[in-house]
Amino acid sequence: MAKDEQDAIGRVVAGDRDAYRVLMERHLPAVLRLTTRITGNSVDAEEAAQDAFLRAYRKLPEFRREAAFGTWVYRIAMNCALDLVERRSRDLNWNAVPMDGEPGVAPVAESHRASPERELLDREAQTLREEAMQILTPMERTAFVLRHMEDQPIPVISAALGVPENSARQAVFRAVGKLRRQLKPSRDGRFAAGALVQAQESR
Amino acid sequence: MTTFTEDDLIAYHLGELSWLRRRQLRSALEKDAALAAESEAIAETLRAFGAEPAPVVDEAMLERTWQRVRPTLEVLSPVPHRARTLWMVGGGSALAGATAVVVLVLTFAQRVPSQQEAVNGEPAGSIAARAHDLLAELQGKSKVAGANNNQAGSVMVLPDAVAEDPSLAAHLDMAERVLTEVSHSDGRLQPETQDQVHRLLLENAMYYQSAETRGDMSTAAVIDDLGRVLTSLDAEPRASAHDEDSFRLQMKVGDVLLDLRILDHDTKKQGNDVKPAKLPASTKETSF
Repeated sequence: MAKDEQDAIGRVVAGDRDAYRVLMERHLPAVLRLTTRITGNSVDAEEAAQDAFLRAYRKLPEFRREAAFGTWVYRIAMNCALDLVERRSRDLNWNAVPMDGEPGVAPVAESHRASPERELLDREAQTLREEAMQILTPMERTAFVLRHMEDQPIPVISAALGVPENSARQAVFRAVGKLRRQLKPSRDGRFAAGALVQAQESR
Repeated sequence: MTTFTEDDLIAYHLGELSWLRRRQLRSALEKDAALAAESEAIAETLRAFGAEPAPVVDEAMLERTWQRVRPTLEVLSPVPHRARTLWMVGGGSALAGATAVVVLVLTFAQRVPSQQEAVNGEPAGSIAARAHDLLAELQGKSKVAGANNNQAGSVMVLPDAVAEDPSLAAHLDMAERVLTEVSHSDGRLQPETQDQVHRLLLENAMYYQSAETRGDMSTAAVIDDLGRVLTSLDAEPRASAHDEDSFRLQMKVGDVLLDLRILDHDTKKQGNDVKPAKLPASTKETSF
């Protein structure tokens, strides 16, 4: 762990709350990317990320300094995001679509200003992806995101989900199978997954 | 001829197949057009989700997140790590004991060699040698496993309770699995889960008492929280996942699960038997 992080943890534990900002600043991007992918919308993603940092803060006095804070808070964030997705899936009244009516898309990295057509295509692709992801159970979604998008190994996913490794692996396989069937050729003959890939490649 | 399922193809694209199976599948893909088409469809599906742009965290978002989190942060006070505390307490006692042994040995050593007597049938030189060995172990100078230690280095006075107690570790593992199952299911608990909850509850009281007697307060606190959740689950099976009590219970299950996982994480770290998780590239660059 970097020395400035160790110093920051030492200061926080000694009572300096503001020193925690150093840790948040450094690890918020990775945590937020993870929670966005698991929850599927920026509102829930921010809530899960805040919850993760809050829980990590409260447990900081017990944190073993030789471990990596980044790994630790990342794992806490996995649990927070999964918990939130499960809570939302039980609460049928919850609607994470923002007030302006746009789908809950997180701001994305753009190296240049996109044309209106490009933005439209991006939004369509995002909507297609998000609709397809909606058919997954919270566990399938989390397992798929962690394995495919976050490149986490199965043992880490199994620990995060609290299930045996084989169950975690099966959850990933089920998710890919469902997504594939969901993105099968549409009525106009276009293969939806292919269209998504083309949209990304022409970016 | 070896047949391949959709799961095999997915495992192949996710890099989860063994080397031998991967080779067999590659060879089959060259010969079987239908299998190759199915494989391509899976690859395309994965590509569609593979290049999602990452959210950008700008200064404004960081500030917003910080402003939301900051008011909820309580001022922390340093809590000495459990194992460290035990070590310090144990180490202090061991050092006091060692000093007493040294005083005793020196008293005997001064008297015995001059008279060439044996103490309890053991030559005085042998007692002095044993005292020397014990001191070396206490001070961590012994490079070989010692009789008082069973391992090289300093004498372990109070080993970590969870790491050293397989039955407690198994109990916490089982609790984690059952609570995970509970948190992932809706409605009433299955009869077998209900039985597991009941068994865990009965055992939990014993482990709580044991941890408390040992003075292991942080483990005792987690076990105590676990006991409360188990009692609720055992006494009031959830009729509906939508009522308020059930929701509160779900929240509590989530908190206890997190505590159990942190305890498990700490224990495994202590035992050095877990490799650090592989983090995405961007995290690795900035964090470690």
